[in-house]
Amino acid sequence: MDLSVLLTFLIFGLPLIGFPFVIGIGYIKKNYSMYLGTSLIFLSFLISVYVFFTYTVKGIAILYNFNWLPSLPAVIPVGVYADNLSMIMALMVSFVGFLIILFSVGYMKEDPNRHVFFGEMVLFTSSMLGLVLASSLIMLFIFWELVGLCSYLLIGFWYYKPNAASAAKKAFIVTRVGDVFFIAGIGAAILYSSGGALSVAGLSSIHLVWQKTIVSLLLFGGAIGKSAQFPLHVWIPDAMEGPTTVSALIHAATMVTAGVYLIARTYSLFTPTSLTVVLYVGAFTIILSGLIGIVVNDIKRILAYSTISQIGYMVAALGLGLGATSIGLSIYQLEAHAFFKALLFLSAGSILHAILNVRDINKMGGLWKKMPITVTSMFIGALALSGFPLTAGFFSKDVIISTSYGVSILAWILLAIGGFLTALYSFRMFFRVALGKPRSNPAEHAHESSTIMLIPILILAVFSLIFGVFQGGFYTFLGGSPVSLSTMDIVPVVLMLGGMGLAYFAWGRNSTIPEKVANGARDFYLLVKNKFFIDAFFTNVIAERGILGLSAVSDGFERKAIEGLVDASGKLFQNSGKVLRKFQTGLARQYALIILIGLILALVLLRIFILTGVIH
Amino acid sequence: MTILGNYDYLWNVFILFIGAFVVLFTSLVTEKRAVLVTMGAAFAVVSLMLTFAQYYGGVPIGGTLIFLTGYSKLFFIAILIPGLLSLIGILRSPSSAKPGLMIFIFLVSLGFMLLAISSFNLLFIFVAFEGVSIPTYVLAAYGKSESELEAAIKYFIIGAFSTGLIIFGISLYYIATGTLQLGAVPNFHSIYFLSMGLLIFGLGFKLAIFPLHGWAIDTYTGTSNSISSYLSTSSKIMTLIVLLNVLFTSPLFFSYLKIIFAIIAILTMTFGNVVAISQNNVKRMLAYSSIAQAGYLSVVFLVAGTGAINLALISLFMYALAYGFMKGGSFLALDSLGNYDIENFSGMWKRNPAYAVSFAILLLSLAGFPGTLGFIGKYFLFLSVLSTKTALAFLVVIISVINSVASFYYYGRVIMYMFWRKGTEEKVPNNYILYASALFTVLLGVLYFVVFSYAQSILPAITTFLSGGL
Repeated sequence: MDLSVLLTFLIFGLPLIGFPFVIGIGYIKKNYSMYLGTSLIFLSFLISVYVFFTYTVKGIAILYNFNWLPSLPAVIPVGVYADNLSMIMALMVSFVGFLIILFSVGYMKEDPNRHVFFGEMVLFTSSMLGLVLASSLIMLFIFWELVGLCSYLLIGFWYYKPNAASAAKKAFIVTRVGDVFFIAGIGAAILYSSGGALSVAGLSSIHLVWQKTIVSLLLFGGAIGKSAQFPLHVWIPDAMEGPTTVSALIHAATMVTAGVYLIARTYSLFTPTSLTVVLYVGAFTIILSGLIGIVVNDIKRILAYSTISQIGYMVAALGLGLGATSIGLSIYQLEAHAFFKALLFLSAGSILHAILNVRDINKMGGLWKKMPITVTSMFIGALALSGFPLTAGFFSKDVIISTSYGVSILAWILLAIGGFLTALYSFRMFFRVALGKPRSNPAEHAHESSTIMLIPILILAVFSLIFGVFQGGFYTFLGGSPVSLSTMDIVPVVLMLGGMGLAYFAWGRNSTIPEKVANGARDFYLLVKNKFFIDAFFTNVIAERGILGLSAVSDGFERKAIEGLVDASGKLFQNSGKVLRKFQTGLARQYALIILIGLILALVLLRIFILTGVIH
Repeated sequence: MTILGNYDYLWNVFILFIGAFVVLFTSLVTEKRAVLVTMGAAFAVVSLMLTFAQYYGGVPIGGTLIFLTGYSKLFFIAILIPGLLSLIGILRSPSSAKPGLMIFIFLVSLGFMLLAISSFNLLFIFVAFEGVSIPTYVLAAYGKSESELEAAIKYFIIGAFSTGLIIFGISLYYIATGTLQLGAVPNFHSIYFLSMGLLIFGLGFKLAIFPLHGWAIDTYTGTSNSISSYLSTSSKIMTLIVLLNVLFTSPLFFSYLKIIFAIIAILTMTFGNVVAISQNNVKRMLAYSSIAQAGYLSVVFLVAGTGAINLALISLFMYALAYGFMKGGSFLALDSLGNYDIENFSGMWKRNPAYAVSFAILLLSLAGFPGTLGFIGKYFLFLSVLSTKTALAFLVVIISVINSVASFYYYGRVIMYMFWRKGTEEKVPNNYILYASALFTVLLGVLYFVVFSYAQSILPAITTFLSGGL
């Protein structure tokens, strides 16, 4: 094993080994956990940077496998695979992870359980890193599930709040639905490639188109669950409600990108049929969540729906089916989104920290004067999110919109409307937060947050502004062709400016337009306000009618049939134990007698075998 | 460096004998337990290190008396490690006034164990075997209480009885084959099988397989913890390997005797588990579980004469290693407590968390919980048996797995008492042997492929001298 492999293992191995120590050291002194956790993630980031510049930039892909279960006839490879795609992801995850954990040092400094929180954060980051560096689908799946576990733990971190506990359960169960597809996809891939597809590199051994379609659609099902696309998007908004802002963020910026990464990693399997499904699921999700984003009032939920719609762009970009260019477009959007969404979440967190966790944007207002740095950063984030020219979002998202024009007009229309909606909801949120007069008591007493919380915000703001300069190089780095600006780019910009202007007229000043619109299209407003009844459908119809009924039936069976059987066999064991104990008299002569009887029996048996010749 | 020719390969044994005398003479000067145990342990460690460092590439010693291969090396290690643990355990128990003599006897028997497993001559095996038996009779009697004496007397009576069987078996073996060397082709088949039956029952008593188990319960329960641990780990592994040598080299063994072993293995594990369920004394429970474990270990005889021998030996090594850590560790753990009733374990989590966690790890490993070395050993052992693909093998493995599941009941009961029952608040002193055993059980359980590939690198590709029945 040479140095590069060892280093790649260390990127995720270091925090993975370190996380029990992070929790353990917290029992000595809580603050040590914070320092240890932060430095572990920072070390991971440094190693990623080193590996990136020493190997990846020079075009060296690191691949190392060892056999997980040497005794089995099938080879189950486990190891690392670090090519351009993985290393870009690893850099992003470790960098954003580091900034988030740095922010948490300020944000969580008064929580009594913060050592556990930091331990979970470290485990989360390491699983995410393991996921992107995994060399086989099995290993990817293991880390995928670890990420799911951590997200369950982090969402439910304030478990004494009923919202948080139920949101954690919801996230866990909903993503599990996707995981069933994922594991079926792995199974199908192994089946169709006669075992070759256990490693990521072996996926190319699936040749038939229908087999590829089946495998890719199943894997996409997994991605839908983790990346919160329609119809499995319902867990993210709830996940934002209970937990800390910080953990909300790591979901928005890192965890949900796992699904996108999965598609990009297995991109060679996606056939035109499955790509069409991917494209329209993405486009549909953009519109759906964009509309809901305009009517919700909870600042974190707005960001959650915005996350869903931005991931919709990544998925749609992959669905365009332009090979490596698609991957480039999608991953570039992923990285840019990680920066500006992290920025928005951290600014939101900073605001909530200042106004005592009042999350309703109707109760904010006038915060620009109270917290100039935070809200200015939020402004930058909103600009980048809606794709204002020369910000990160412009280079990442608008390119996707204009590229889609060449693939499908319908997709282009949907994506462009999505851009308009994005500008509308992001500036609605921003104007309600920043302008006007404070609309509640806490908002009047808001003050700027501490420096340690502002540092990550400022770093992210800078990145959100200048990230666009990497665009050209980024696409070619991932093997795609560079995309140049064209006249088509004017359309999304115009739509975006329109959305921004509309938002100002509707929410930036005192106005009755929103009410009038809501009353005018009452039915449609209620439909959107109720999130298109998707959540209600899942809860009321599938969960309560379907699954609870089913489980009642199997519970009855289990109680009556199986438990009786188990009880009976338990009694049998206990009673025969009591009988057999009687032979243990403690008399040595009796033991010798038993030995003798046993010996004679054995010899007689042996003699019978030999005479009859039954066994040869 | 050559001093004694091929005998140089036996320095790991000689160092134990030398150590025994050094400790004995030191005890004339001082009877301080700590000093003597440290010296004894130091010699055992040196012996272990010599074993690790030495390369055994099929060395014949004393004509055909001893034959050393990588196979011997593996089980030297599997015997020395639990021996070392038990030796350190003497620090706490028993409360005898003369630890010097005790360690002398201990080291001598340890040395003979190594000789016993490396020999392929029945007379030599007999001598070495008695060289183990007689010191262990004394060790079992060491201490002051009546229970220790009773334990030793029972052990001694059954031992003497078995010696008779062995001697009789050896004489018949000589009549049948005309030699005392193992692996000879018999001229008289009926007498040969009679002798094999006698040898199995004579040698097998130390393994405590089913009809030969009676003494084991009383002896393991009665003697001091370090000796219980020694008798149920090192001594048992030694017996298993001696039996393996006798039977695997036999050209006629497998067509008939395999089924007897299948029956013995099934009866042994089922008996051990079933009776262990209704025990309330933890030490007695461990004694019964040690019988059940002997049943799992003897499953290995089913691979004899097939291509699975190599995998089976590697897995047996892993299981023996695990067995040494978990059984030795759990017996020695009892030293921290005055009373072995299960009630006395309640509230352990509050009284000494490290103790509770480590003891729970060892119990889970004994039950075969994934992530521990006990699971890995069992898993590979059963896998190797399954790979022979006979109906008998499937039957035995299925019953073993059912037994493993049933054993969760009585191991889990102790864990439940330790973590969820409220009991006395009395503090429990730390037991570092327990912690070390638990650590190794988990560490090697996770990094099992390291152990696996180490064993693989030592064991020659085909252990030809063991495939008599092929």
